[in-house]
Amino acid sequence: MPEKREATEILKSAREALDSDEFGGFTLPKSRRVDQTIPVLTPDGALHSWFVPVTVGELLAGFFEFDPNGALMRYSSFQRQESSLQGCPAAESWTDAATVQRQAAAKARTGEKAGEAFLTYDRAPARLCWQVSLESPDGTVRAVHVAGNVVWDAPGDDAETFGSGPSH
Amino acid sequence: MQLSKNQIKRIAGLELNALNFAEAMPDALEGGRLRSAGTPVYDINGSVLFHRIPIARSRGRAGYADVGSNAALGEPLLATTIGAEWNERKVLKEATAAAKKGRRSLKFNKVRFVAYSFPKVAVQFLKGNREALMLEWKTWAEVAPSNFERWSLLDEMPAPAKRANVRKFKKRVAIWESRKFRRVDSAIIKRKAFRQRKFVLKLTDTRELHYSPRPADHHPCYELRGQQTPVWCVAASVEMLLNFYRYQYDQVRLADELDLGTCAHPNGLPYSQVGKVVTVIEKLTSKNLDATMHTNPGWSVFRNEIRANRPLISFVPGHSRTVAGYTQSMIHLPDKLPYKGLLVYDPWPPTDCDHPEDGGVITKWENFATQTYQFAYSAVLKHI
Repeated sequence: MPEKREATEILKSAREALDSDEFGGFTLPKSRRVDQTIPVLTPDGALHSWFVPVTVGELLAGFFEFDPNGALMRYSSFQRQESSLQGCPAAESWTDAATVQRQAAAKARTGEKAGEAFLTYDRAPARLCWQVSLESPDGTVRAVHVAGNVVWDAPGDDAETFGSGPSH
Repeated sequence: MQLSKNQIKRIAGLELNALNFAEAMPDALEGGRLRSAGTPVYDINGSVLFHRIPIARSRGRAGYADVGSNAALGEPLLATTIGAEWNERKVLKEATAAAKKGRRSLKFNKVRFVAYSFPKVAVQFLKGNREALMLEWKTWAEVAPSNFERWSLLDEMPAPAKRANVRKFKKRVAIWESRKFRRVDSAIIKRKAFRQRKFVLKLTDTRELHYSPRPADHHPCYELRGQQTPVWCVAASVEMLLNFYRYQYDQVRLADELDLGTCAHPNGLPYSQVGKVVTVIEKLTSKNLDATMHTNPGWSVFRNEIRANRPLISFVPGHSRTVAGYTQSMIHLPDKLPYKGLLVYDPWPPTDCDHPEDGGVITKWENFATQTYQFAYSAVLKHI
């Protein structure tokens, strides 16, 4: 698992980027804040990148993504218009593992239990989402992906399409 | 924030020196001199917008620079023209002659320059504070008060855009007023002025899609669409591109055309079917759009399309998004790596068919060096 020290360094970089124009100059109110850094794991459990949420009140305005070396990969904004937060998702739906777990459990089949949630991606690294394992009473396990309010079955290895194709 | 004449002259010199240092206009500026703060040009509402400053050169072509004195413009350097002289007295003489032609009764006691339809400039003759006549610069055609082209750049600018511009402008001015730049002789444009002092400049070329290819006239014009199932990134991307050209097809219809299933049973676009994007765009626009697929597109494909004011669909491994802008550093300094980034309208994260207004993010900027670009699709509107 990634070290706490790395997460702290990433958090510091994100705060610096937010105070500069390096993140593209989106207009955010002064109450904006950088929240806790979350590791993005590959399907194999290795560190892929760091997700740093930028919140305003209870809304997720956007997020930074840093590579494991601390280089800024992108700032992505949920703001459809500068200086408006309309349409931004609830921050906890993307930053709180317990909330994500509950979201997955709500879509579980009868008897299935939701395991711990971790942030990953749906095949292509640009497609960030949470993954939760659902275990049925007979011991079979299936994985679901969660992005905000949307839950779907994690795609199988055989799907080679733009939309659910393998990462190259 | 309104700059004084001294500040304007000084900032103009620094901006032009930076442009010259970056070799953005090779040899067009070297050796140029700024002798004054130039001519104030007013907004139609009476505020000073910018100054038109002559660039004198003993050798080579003269020119002029438009330098904003009003912070709402966002950047001090608005435009640089080489090969055309700006001589305020001469222009006023011509304007006065044109004004008196056929209007012997014309009375005025004040003349000023007005950006009546920014960046179009006119000469305004005033009697007291009232306009007696306005003539367009060069054509000397009258710009009547009823002329629909008259509009105030400052009054028409949306408040959020104005606030953002003011912040940007102040930041830029603060850089030029910092101690290290005070020592530069800003009245002369010389490449060595910056080289000797080892300044680190951040100069970038940035473009975003607008309503027309004239960026000064309109704000960025592009909208995000979230993918309505976890596998409809291609449908959402096609929707964004078609929306730019005012074709309103919903994602369900586009998914049907692309054989991507239904909301209840969706599927992605198979790798073998990438050509279908071209076919569907052309079909749904009755071939008014001429679509092209670019395999392994390089930077120039994205940059040239955006410069032509056209969005692109971009396929990266396993995913599709659209590109609506770019930024690139214009100068490469030893301690800074050159940077190229794309403005990506990404339909991910997904929404569902009941909430088409949700989903997606705008990424500003995606580092071009860290992504694999498999295919890109551009579309050109056919003209008669």
